[in-house]
Amino acid sequence: MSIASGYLPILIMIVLGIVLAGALSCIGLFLGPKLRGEVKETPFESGFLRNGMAGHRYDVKFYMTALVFLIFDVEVVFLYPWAVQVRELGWFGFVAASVFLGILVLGLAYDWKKGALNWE
Amino acid sequence: MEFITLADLTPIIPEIIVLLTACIVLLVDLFAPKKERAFTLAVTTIIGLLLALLAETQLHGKEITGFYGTVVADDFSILFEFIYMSVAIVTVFVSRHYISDNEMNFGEYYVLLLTAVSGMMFMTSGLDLLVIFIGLEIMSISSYILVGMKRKIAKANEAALKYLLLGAFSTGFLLYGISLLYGATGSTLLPEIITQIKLNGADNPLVVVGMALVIVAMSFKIAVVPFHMWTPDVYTGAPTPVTGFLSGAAKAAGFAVFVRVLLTGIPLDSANWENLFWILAVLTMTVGNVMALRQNEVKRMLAFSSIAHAGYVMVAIVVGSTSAISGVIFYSCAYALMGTGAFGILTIKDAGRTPRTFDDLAGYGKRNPFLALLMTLFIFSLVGLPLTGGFIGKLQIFSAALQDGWIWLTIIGILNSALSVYYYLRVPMFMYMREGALPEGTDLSEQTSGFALTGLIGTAAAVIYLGIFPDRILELASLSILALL
Amino acid sequence: MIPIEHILLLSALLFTIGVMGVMLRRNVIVIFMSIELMLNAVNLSFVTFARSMDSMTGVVFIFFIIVVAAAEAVVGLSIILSIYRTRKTLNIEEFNLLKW
Repeated sequence: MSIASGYLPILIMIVLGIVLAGALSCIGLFLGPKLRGEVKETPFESGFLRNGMAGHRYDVKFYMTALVFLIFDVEVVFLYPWAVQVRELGWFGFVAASVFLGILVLGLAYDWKKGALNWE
Repeated sequence: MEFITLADLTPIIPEIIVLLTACIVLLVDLFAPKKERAFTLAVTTIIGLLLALLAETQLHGKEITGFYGTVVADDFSILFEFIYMSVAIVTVFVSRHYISDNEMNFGEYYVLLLTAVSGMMFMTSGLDLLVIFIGLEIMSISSYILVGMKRKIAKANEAALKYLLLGAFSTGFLLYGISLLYGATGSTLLPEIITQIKLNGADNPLVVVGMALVIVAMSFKIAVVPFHMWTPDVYTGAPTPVTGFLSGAAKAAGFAVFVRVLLTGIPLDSANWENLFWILAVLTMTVGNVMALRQNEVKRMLAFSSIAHAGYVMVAIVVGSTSAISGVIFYSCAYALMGTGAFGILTIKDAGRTPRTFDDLAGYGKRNPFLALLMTLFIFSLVGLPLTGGFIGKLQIFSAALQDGWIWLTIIGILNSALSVYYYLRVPMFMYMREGALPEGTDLSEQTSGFALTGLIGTAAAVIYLGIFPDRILELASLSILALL
Repeated sequence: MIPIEHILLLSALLFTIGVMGVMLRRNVIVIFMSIELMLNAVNLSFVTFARSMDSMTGVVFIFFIIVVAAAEAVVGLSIILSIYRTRKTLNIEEFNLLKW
């Protein structure tokens, strides 16, 4: 198959996307009623009343949780290959995975004891 | 299909011991009563490292591989692992008081030291680029944190950030290089890559670019000019014991990988590679020495001089003969000891503060005659005066270079050594010849901690031992290289 | 099927964008993101080679790259947080206490 035909569907998608998005925006611009008022001028926040600045600082406790989550979340990637081959790997695989999990638990114990998991 | 068995664990027993110690230290830190904690942590760390050293001696001379040939315990890796662990032990000795004075007295300090050592050990015993990469990252990530351990000091934070950014940047290059080598040869196992390259020739652009990227990344780690920019900043901003540890152990680990990849991997016959390394070696020596001339801070001066020392080792790598490579091993060993020793002296409080600039050293000889003596010994060894390890190391490297007909390289190297005399001797000069003007009421009664003193005396003894009886180590080194080739 | 040269080219391009990002951008977080982009470009190149040679090594390598990148991100963000606490800025040009 030639390269051009391989990419053709993508090209069609892109063109279609641009045309459609452009057309719909223009229709709204021409046909929609134009009203101005205080409520219309405020930014839309999913129906809630607007509160706080966009550059508002998050509490550091979100940060700690995010870091802890990130590391534990990604480490689990090593369990997938083991889970897929669990029967073939047998007891040796089981022990190896247990050692790995044991080290993760040690890390969890460390987080706990240091208070990284305390929300308040 | 054969599976991994327990026998595969044999070559990495020392690594396992070090990692287990790290886990134990972490648990001790979490659950031990606060009173004797700091002492227990230091002692546990040292015992763990000594046990690992013992395990290394049992593996000596056997060359065992494991995990489908991805890790090996040969004499080459054992010698280098000895260096890392000795440096780590000295670091623990000199850190004990430094870390409690600087509010970084956490168990994590020892844990990270141990994990960094285990990373270096994996790097050295890895025969697969995957293992080398993982070892390198274990070492790097641990040392990023160690460098930034003084959390409230802006300089330490800045050093950690620079180290992290440039370290991660160079990791990107390393990985891209590995991926290209993998694409060219279909394997990440070093022996396999070598066979493939020998079979198909080294002209494949994937191989050339891949190798170049790996070399750039490794040059970052061992601070070869022009990839050295981070060294002075990181070495100055880091806690002093950590600086000693990085300059001694982390650099040696970089050299170990360099030697393993280059000398067993890529046939360095091609003139282009040789010229490139020639230029890098000369640049590294010269830039390191010239920049060291202008420094006021002792730590920063030592940092630049460590770049120059990397340049001398690069000379040996360019030469590439058996005696030159045993020079690499010997020099790494000698430099690790004298560098750690010199930085170790700077960790000790003198007149109420740790010495920072040359002026702080004025009158040091009167205040601490014994420490000044030790410092002078380390400096003499760094200069390369006879009866010290540094002398034998330089002798070995430059005589190997002469034997192979690298006359210009040798001349440039010796000129550089001569240049280094000037800035090194400023240290003893300030210590003995200048009178220090201390502020009124400075407390001079402070005792040097026995812990730090033990470590420093041990280091000094080892430096002298290397200078007077180098034969044993040189013999071990050349034997280990024969096993490698 | 798309020829592997194209994917490799894309990977090289992403890697270069990452390198340029590290060298040109001034915000530490953006620099860090550029480094992650470099690592992911490498992942793409690994998976391409692994697929074209029908070998598993490259795929295994990616697992480790992902995990190491996560560990590096955690340590990196912590260091960035602590430098922000002492300096109140993330502009790399203002980190000049140590001569750069």
